[in-house]
Amino acid sequence: MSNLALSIQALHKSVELNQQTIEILSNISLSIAEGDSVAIVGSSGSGKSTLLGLMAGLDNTTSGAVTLMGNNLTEMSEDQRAKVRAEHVGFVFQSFQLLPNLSAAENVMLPMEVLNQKNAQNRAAAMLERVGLSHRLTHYPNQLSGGEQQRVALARAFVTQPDILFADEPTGNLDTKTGNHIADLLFELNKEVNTTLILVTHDEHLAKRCQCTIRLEAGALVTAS
Amino acid sequence: MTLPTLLRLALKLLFREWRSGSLTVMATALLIAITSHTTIGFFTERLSNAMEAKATHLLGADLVIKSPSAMDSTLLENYVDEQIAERANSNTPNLNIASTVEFTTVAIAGDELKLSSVKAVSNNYPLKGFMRTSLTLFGEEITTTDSPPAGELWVEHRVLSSLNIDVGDTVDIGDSSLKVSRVLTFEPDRSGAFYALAPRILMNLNDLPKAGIVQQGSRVDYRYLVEGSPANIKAYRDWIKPQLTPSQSVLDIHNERPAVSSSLVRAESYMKLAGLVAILLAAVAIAMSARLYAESHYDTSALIRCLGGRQNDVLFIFILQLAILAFFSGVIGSLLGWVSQSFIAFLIKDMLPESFPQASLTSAWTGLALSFIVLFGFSLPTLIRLRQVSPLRVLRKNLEPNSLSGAIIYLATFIFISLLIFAYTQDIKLTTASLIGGATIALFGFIIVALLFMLLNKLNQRFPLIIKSGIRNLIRRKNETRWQTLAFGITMMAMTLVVIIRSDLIDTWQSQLPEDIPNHFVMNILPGDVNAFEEFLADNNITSSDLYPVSRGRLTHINGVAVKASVTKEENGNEALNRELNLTEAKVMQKDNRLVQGEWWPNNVASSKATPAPTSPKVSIEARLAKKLNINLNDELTFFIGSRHLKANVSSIRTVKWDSFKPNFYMVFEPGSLNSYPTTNLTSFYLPEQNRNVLNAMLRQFPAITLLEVGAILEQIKSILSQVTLAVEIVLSFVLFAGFAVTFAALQSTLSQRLHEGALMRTLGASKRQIRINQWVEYAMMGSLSGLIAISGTEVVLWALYTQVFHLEFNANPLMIILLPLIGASVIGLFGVFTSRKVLNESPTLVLRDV
Ligand SMILES: Nc1ncnc2c1ncn2[C@@H]1O[C@H](COP(=O)(O)OP(=O)(O)O)[C@@H](O)[C@H]1O
Ligand SMILES: [Mg+2]
Repeated sequence: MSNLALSIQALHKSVELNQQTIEILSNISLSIAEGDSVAIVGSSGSGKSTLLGLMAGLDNTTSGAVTLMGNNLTEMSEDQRAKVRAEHVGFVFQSFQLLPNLSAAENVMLPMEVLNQKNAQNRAAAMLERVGLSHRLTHYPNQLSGGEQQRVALARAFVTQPDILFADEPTGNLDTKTGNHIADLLFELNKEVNTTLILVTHDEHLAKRCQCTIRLEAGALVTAS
Repeated sequence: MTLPTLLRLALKLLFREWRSGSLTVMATALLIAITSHTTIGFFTERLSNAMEAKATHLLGADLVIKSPSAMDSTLLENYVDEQIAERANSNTPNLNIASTVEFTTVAIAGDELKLSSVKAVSNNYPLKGFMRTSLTLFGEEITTTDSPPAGELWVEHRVLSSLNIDVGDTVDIGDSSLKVSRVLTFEPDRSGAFYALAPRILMNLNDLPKAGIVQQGSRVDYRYLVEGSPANIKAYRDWIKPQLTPSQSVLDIHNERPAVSSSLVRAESYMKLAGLVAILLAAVAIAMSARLYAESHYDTSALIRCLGGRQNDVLFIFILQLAILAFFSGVIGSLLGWVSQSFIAFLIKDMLPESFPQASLTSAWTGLALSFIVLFGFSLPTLIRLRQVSPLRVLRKNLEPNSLSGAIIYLATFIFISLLIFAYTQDIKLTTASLIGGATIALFGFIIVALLFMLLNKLNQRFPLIIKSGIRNLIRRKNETRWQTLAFGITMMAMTLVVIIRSDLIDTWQSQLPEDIPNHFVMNILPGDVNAFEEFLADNNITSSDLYPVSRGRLTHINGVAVKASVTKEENGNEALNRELNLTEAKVMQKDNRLVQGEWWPNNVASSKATPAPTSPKVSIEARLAKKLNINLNDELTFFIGSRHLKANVSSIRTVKWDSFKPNFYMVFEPGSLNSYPTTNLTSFYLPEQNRNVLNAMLRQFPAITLLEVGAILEQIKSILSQVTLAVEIVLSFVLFAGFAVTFAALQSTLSQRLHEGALMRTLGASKRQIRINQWVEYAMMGSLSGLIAISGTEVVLWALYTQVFHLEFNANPLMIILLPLIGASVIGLFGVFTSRKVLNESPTLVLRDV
């Protein structure tokens, strides 16, 4: 049996809003093995992004435990979780999240710089070439189309060869055709690097390309197949 | 992340940020603050060095040793020899010494005698400064640093007229006959009550033994003038001081500095005040744009954290950026400060003294420090929030960082403002007063703004349709626009105050030194000559000030207690006591004097003839002297005039404008008081340069008078004032620039919101014209409201200053009540529409997609 990349036990998440406690996620337990690709689906507002944030240690749980690559995130401080992210995690977002003040290559170099890795420049260039942007190294995000920006984001996510990749609606801001290209590229890279993939989407087609699907409804796990 | 990585990242981000223009306002504000600080610093340092140099010129040296007898030459030469010995291979002495011998003697030419004050000077006299001489009586003056060669005399014009001789004739001084070669009009180290002295004759020290005039026991003043570098002078002073006898003394510019005109002191404090205002305004601009900068970097912070950066990594990136910005602004600002003060110096080089010493680098260092303090002090409180940004923001866009509580930010800002004000004023009371005043104004300003907005809301129904929607925008956004209005209002108020105070300052100077300010003083007009003298003036179209009868006397007792006993030791040096005072009487007080206590005697204009002597005379005394001698109203003062005593009661205490160049008196008596005492008369008048030959005739007709020309001194002071005025104006421009920086910073803070709204309006079909009109209405209305805030604040501050501090009458300024809202409307309107031009030009889809 392969090792677990991620396991969640009895996870609850609620927020205080106008003196009311809103339960966003309730009693979620699941585990994902290394190398798996999992789609989290559900309607808008069902809590997908919240779950993703908790899995990646971007947020604190209300109760329950999250273990990511053997690290119990719930017992860690912000900065310790940041270290885990730097070492094991890659991200792709719906809104790309490139730093507008860095060029494409510099954006791709960023995670390597966080890890103090050598040769960042060359590896960033190679990675951008891999996603088909070798002619765009010095361009800034506002000089790139949405699809190109997301390709830069993919290059940034995969350049450190992360153990686990979180993608939140990676095609949500793109037209269908470009979205498909990006999805193809995502799964290709995922295969090359052999990364555990956790993909949040409301697009059933995209979800089908993953090995299994987790369905959320109003903050609760409905099926885990 | 490692330091080099952080540094590289900080630099990259900063560079791009710079290119995109989002740092422009912050950097400009910082540059203005630093440039203003360093310009003022450099310039005032040079000015005070120049003043000091001027003071040494008036002393004729850096240091003077005064002795009643010839000093042992070893005291002077040994030191120099020792110095040479110490530096075996250099034989240049590092001190120059000149000597003068001053005594009073009778100068004789033919049958005429004149008691004169002779000064025999060594060949190297004067060591500092210069003399002015002319080759003929009242001829063209030439500046010279020579001294009379052996066998020759330079004499004051009074000597020529009294002895009835001309340049080229000979005069006997003691046993020697010397030829008059020049007329002396100005000598650097003439000290004391110059008009009371016998006229000056300058001769060469080598002629003195031949004259055989200075003998044991005769009253002679030996002076040794020393010149050298400050360090050498100090060493020499330390060396010689312990060796002097009690009757010998050391003079240097610090105890012999001529009273630096109060205008200069005021100018300097004005420049500092204006500089402070510029820095505070710049600080406000920095705080505003830093907030915007922080807010626009929440995403950056969240992403770096998401990728695994620590909280402190993020903070450090921004601190590094600040440090780089502070460093460059500090260096460039100091350079600009240097350039601008050199520029000022270049513009007015004709007015500057011969040597205008360079400034030290002190101001550059403080400028650099200030750059860090202002930038960090006013931007860190908001930038620290970047550390707090949750990495979850990458998923939930609207997640704002937990704000460091507003109270802490305001407290930090308040502390920094207090420190800045204190650093500049060095005055706890003034700092407290301005802080309390500032806070009060801000509080009331805010209340007024809130009320104005409510009023606007009520009135809006009645406004014409075209401006209605602009006003509605303003009110709808009131959370931001109220603050903006307040910020504009206070900025405008600060600028207005600085401008008004500047005008008052310059007006005061100009009224002090009008074109026709008396440049000649005439003393010793005999009572019998008064009518003839007044006729002479009238015939020559010369207008003079009033004639003052003057008796010379000494203050001996206060309430029957001898003055010497009643004053403490250190006050013994008071010049008013050590020399005879000019005592006068007057019916009315001089215009520029001001009563601070008591009352002036009633003026019986009816009796134009001589007033009978009052039985118990009253006297009005100058305030500073009264304070020094602890003299109060109704005290009885006893004066010794000629050989008799005069008792008078103090009936009033008044202030005197010593720098007004009009006859001024410590003691003014009730008319008639001096009837039975010997008096001569004194007046002053203005004579244009080209009419100087009138003076010849005057001296011929009234040989007894003492004529004093102060034109040269006046010119000097005028030139100093105009140079200071220019400096003041340049400093003022910094305040204006800083005010603009605040305006831009405040306008930028709502720009992104406006962009978004504008784009939305345009997609919904609003025309560009409609949007532009709305913008104009909104900004102009905001500007005129802030003009109202500014004018009320200005009037309150001026009222407080005039009535509470200066004790002057306060007049509201009706013109400004109209002017300021108009200026506000047009300036804010222009700037606002200018900064929001993107709202009209950018494509709506681009804007909406961005968000
Ligand atoms: N910090 C928060 N404060 C208030 N409400 C939140 C917070 N986080 C999530 N929510 C709410 O929880 C629900 C789930 O949000 P989200 O995880 O973004 O859903 P999804 O990504 O599936 O569309 C939404 O209704 C959202 O408004
Ligand atoms: Mg979502």
